[in-house]
Amino acid sequence: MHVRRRHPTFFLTGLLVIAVLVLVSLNAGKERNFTSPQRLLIEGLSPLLKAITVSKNSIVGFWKSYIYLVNMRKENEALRETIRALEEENNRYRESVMANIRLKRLLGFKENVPAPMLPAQVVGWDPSTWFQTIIIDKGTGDGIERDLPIVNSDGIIGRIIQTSSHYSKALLIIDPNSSVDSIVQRTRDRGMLEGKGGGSGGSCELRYFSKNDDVKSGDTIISSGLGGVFPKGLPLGKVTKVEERGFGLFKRIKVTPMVNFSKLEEVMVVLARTKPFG
Amino acid sequence: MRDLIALFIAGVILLLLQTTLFHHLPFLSKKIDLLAILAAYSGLYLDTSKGSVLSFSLGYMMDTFCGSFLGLYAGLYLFISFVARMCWRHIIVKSAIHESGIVIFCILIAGLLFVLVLKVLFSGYSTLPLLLSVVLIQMFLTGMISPILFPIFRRVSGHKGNIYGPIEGF
Repeated sequence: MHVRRRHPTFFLTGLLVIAVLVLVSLNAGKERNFTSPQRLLIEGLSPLLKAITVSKNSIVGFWKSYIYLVNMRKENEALRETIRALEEENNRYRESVMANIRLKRLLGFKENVPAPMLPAQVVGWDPSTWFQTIIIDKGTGDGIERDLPIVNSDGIIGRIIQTSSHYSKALLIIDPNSSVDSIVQRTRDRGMLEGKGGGSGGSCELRYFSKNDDVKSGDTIISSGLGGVFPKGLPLGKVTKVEERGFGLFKRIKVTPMVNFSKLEEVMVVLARTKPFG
Repeated sequence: MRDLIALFIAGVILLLLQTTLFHHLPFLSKKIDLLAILAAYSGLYLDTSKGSVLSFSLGYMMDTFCGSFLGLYAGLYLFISFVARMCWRHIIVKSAIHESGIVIFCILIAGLLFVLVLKVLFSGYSTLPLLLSVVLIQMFLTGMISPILFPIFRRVSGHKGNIYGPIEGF
């Protein structure tokens, strides 16, 4: 009381320093959901984020639709050709899938129902240099929970870490705090895919790969399904560099994610965990 | 009190910019921390109580929208505000160049501290690349943009008269 009356400035500043220490120590070593004041902030400011993002997307959409109209005809013709080629390819794959299903049934595998997905729009990106997160416009009110995986047509994007009623925050796989249990599609060797930050679209590193394991540039990395978050078999990235240092037990493997994180607009939240795809 | 509220609203606008439009600027993306400049301003031109409250609030808001660790930015901005305050006590701030110098110094010290904290709290961060690719670039870019933002903060908060000095002393 004495200090409070004589040195109100020091009292207040000291109180804030203690508040910081309490906040940091409460969070040390574990991920927590939003606190009540944070929920208030997210719910209050995210509609503004959404409005800015939607306006930006509309302007970009207008630009792309009208200014690039000149090249559309050529592109259209090229796309028709591609569609014809893809239809042929698709037929071949369909046959393979049917054969695969028959073989799985023969082997007594369980029939897998694809997990339900919820589309969401990215309304904000992490404002800091150090972390890689996004804010999406779906929350607990839409059935979103912590640790649900988010994906798009290219592959895995990340997982939900914090939720409020209408918005959620997701940790991207390129964040240094993210690690995904993964396998090399060609050889089925296992490792951990860890984020290395967001420089030039983002990158990851495949860790705990011994020097005897077979991995080379161009290999596709997929999720292993272990860890209880990501479904098995979803693409994560491509190996771009394999280094073998003179010392140490493991290889150093650089992986470029399948997803282009600098152009994320819409994502899909997988509403069930670790359901194998296919 | 009016200046505190006005600067907090300015901080909210800067955060919205950083969270949305800045992401699409290829070079500036995530390289400039506008709220850190505001935290430095609060240390230089607000009294200690107001400066601390503003920088803590800005940091708490930043913590809500980034990463997963509550309290990191609240502590960082409070620290930036203190460093700026210390600079003001020992250096005579006479021009925008001095202000830029102080902002650069604050960002450098805060960046070094932040890298150290990240290294201790999370294993995935490698120190040297972060120092070279993030802290140094952020330091110079933030220093360059602060002469544009400081007059805006002055106008917003209504600080007049002797602009190069705190409104109220320790």
